Amino acid sequence: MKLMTRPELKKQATKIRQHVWQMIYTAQSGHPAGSLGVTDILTTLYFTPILKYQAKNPQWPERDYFLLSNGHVCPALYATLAEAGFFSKSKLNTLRQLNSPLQGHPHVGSLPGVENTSGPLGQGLSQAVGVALGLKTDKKINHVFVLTSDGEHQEGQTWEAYMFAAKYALNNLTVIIDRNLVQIDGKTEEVMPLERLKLKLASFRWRVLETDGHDFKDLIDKLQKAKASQRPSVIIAHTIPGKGVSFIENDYRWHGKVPHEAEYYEGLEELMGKTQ
Amino acid sequence: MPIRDTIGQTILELSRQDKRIVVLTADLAGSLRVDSFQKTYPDRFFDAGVAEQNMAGVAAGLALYGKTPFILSFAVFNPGLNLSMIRTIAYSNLNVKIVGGHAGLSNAGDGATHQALEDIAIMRSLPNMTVLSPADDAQARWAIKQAVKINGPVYIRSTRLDTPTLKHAQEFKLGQPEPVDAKSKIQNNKIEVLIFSTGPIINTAIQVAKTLNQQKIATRAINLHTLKPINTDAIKQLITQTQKLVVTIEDHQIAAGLGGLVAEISAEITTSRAPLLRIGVKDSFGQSARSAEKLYEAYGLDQASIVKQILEVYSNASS
Repeated sequence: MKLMTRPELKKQATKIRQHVWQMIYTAQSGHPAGSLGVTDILTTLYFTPILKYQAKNPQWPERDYFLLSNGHVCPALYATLAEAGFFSKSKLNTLRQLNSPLQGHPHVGSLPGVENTSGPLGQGLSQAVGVALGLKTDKKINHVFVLTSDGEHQEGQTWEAYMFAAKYALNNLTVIIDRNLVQIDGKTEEVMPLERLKLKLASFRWRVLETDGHDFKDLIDKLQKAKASQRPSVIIAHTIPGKGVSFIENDYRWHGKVPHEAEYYEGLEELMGKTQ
Repeated sequence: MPIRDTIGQTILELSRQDKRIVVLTADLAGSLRVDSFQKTYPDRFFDAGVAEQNMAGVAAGLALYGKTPFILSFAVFNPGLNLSMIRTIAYSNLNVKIVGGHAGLSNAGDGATHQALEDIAIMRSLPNMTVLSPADDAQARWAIKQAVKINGPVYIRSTRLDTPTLKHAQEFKLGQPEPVDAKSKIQNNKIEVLIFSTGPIINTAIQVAKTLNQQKIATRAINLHTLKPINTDAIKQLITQTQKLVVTIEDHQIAAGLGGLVAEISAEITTSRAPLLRIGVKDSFGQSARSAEKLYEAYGLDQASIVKQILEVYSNASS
């Protein structure tokens, strides 16, 4: 794979955002804010050499694993996988339709490149821990990345998994937290405060890194550091929910809202403008 | 031998050959009898601490990677505390083997919080799940071997008490009802009372059948070691051959458990059929007692109470 320059990565991410916006509008349901917010993280993983994979051989035993925990942002994962060549982009417009492999929340086995089922929040980190534990037991060097939301850090199971990974010293595991500060009912710090998140994570004996979730240079740097770490690492990625469609950015009401027609075209125009 | 002992031993034995097997518990290695596995294979044993949700989630990940994880805890917690994670395992059709220990009222001392009376109902409602409920050590051994053979999630109901070994006349087959009174000379077309049971309480069911036969009521006892999948045609055939009364006996809620299962199948029979009497725990929680015997008596699950309940309905059905 030819290395992408930063402007090329930015362009790639915008293409994914265009898909996401169209997919959710076509489906007339879905989660635009989180999906647009994590797009730069997914782009960095799949369009730089950080995540080892073979799109045409998704079960390649030497691959790195990417697991998604906050399954509701799957439009971004599906669009990224399609852009990366795991399956045809023509499938993207079947999101949330009857018999589509693009379920409203991801289902393992339905779609090449989807490594785990997610949707019930708080379950993804445990699954990633299990994959990392299996690899470590067999002395394999594959790395496991898992993307989580900040809201799902209110689930107790997430912290059970942090404890477990520290006990078994799973340095082949990197957690990325989409720290967008919002959840369905409002701001995370009002619904159920997570701060001081960094201290909490560090006290669970994890290496904690922080990044701007939209700065490719910073993302690459922190993901590389985490991958090479001797301890399990967690990256708090500060993101803007709805990133790329300015009128929905940072507005928690867009967690699970579908744009109406005028909004859709306004957003699409903004996203199209960015690739011209 | 207690079923839990056989389960621990069998997992250990199979693990010598099958390197995919790994074991997880939530701080109950001794109670679930996998402490010997822990000693023999420390690199394949993982104690999740008192965290059943994560235990199930880690098992899901291990299965995604290609391992065959067993997760063991008390049946009230596993499934129960981790039901949502087990549901995701079932939806993903992952190769996770779930052992729910100390099930039913037989776990007398601990009281209602620790007496799983709804685990069969929960697990048999999940697509992709196989549900096994062994009645003795031979069936427990078979259940663990089946679980490893099946590529998908399996629930095995385990119990704590010493359990007599039954005389089995035939091989166990997944989903097939097993007559446990093989010596019975009753012809199928002469059955008056048909008893279905599952798990170690089958021993009470066999004694009940013996008592009824002594009273010239032609009775057969059938063990259902598999509750899902189940050969519904075979169950329907047994029911339609029964003249007076079909009975279910279980150490579990009658709602959606064995009684519920037989009721569902029976209701689909379009010809005339015998009525159904469901004996088990009836929409109440358990409680503490000095012994399982005392508890079974209190809940109408001892031999004498069961015979009495059957005779009452039987005489009404006969008149």
